[in-house]
Amino acid sequence: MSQAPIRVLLVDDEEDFVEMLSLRLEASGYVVECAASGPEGLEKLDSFGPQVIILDVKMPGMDGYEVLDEVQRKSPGLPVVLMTGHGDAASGEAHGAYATMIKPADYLELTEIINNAASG
Amino acid sequence: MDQPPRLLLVDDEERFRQVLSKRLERRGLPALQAPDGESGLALLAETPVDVMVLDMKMPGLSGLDVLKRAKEDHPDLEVILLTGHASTQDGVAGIKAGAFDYLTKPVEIEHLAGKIRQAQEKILREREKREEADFRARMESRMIAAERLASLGTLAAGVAHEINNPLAVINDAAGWLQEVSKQTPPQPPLDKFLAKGLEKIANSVERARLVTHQLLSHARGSAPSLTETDIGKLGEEALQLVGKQARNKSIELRVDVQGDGRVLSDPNQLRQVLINLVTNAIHATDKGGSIAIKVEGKDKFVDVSVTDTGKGIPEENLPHLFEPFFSTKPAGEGTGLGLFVTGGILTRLGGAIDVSSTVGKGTTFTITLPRKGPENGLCAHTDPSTGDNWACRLGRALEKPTQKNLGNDQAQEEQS
Repeated sequence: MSQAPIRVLLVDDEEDFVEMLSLRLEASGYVVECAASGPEGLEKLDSFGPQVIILDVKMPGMDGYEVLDEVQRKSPGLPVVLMTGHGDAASGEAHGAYATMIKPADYLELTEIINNAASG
Repeated sequence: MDQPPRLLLVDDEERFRQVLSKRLERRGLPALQAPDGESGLALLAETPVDVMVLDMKMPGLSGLDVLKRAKEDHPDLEVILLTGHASTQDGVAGIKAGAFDYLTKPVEIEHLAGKIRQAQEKILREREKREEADFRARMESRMIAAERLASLGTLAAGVAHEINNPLAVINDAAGWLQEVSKQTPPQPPLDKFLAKGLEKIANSVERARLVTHQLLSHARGSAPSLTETDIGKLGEEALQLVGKQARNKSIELRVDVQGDGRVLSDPNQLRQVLINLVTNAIHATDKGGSIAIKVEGKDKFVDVSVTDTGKGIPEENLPHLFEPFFSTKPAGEGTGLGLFVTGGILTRLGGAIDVSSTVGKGTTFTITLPRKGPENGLCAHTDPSTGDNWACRLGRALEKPTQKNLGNDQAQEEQS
């Protein structure tokens, strides 16, 4: 990555997952910010200014689809990658997600999606 | 009742027996004959008989003894007793021992012929009743098996989801350590140990991931997105995708299309099905073998078969092929979910799958797809929560209980 590092916002209530994926992404040269809930993620939308959001579907309180709607309202066109342990994320694209992935996601595939989303 | 009953006449009076036999034959009721109880029983043992006309009063074995022994060995046999004049007691004893009825000598021939016909009717009725009960019992046990499979799939998918989160953590932790140790290599020999251990972790996650993702895709199964699909083309694509594996084993691949191979279906899911079947075929086939995809367009259905010249599937494995986690591949080489997923996809597409195999010769999987989409499929009643219609599929298969198929009877009817 010769250009400025891509800024990724990670929204997931699973603490270990967020920690490990952010460390891995950072080790690969991304700039990562984490949020443990939907509202926290939406707050960081303004303060962090991500180029890509990786968003969990199943979270207590505000779920991924609600967060996705709100992101689209606040920052239209900002790519969101839905990430879930369920198989139901297949419908993510219909909600306007850039891509949907099932955990554990293939890392190469994930970084490719992030890179494409950020450059698109 | 086109067929006359198989009749046996047991009477020690030679002349009476001959005359009765002739008269019966003139009425379309030919009978075997025996002059005494012993030879009557011997005949019964080697020849199937439906109705026995039996004299009560014979030297040697009495009619009652013959009746009891005959009923013991041939419970379906119906027996009409001939009793002497004023021997009502004999007749009653005979009925108690399981005789169909008794007639008093001298016998009125029309009366006897009528009784024989009645006895035959009873036999047919009993047989039908028994076949129906058998059918119902078989159906029920299949339904239970199908329901168990469906709930097992749902349970497994739930477990899969709970396992995916920790898998993701393990996966990224290993990946992160790999990345970090590339950038800041640890001292030998730790570097080697670390690299080896992390690689094993990553490989194992990949193996588990394959299982959980397949289970989820089966249980949730994305709704099919229907479009006109050329199965011949899909077959070519599938063969291209697995071509390298086949070339490595010098296996010949070909696609043969007869008739119109276009259906309203989901090309992505169907391609997955074909890839699964061809991949299995490649694994089962030795060097130099061949695999053929044959597409056969019919009126309302399209048949697609994948035939290999591989090692074949032992008969005892056939009923389990579509069960989750059934695999004969070595541990780690097959998830045991390929055909389970394939079956799920096909039922959602309104199709069915059938298998025939000969050990040492090869295997043919035949898919039947409705030309005009799942709505016009083999089974319209699909459980919306799981997309599964196993039970229905198996139920249909049972409509022709002699066939070892998993539900394409409708297509076969069309064929015939």
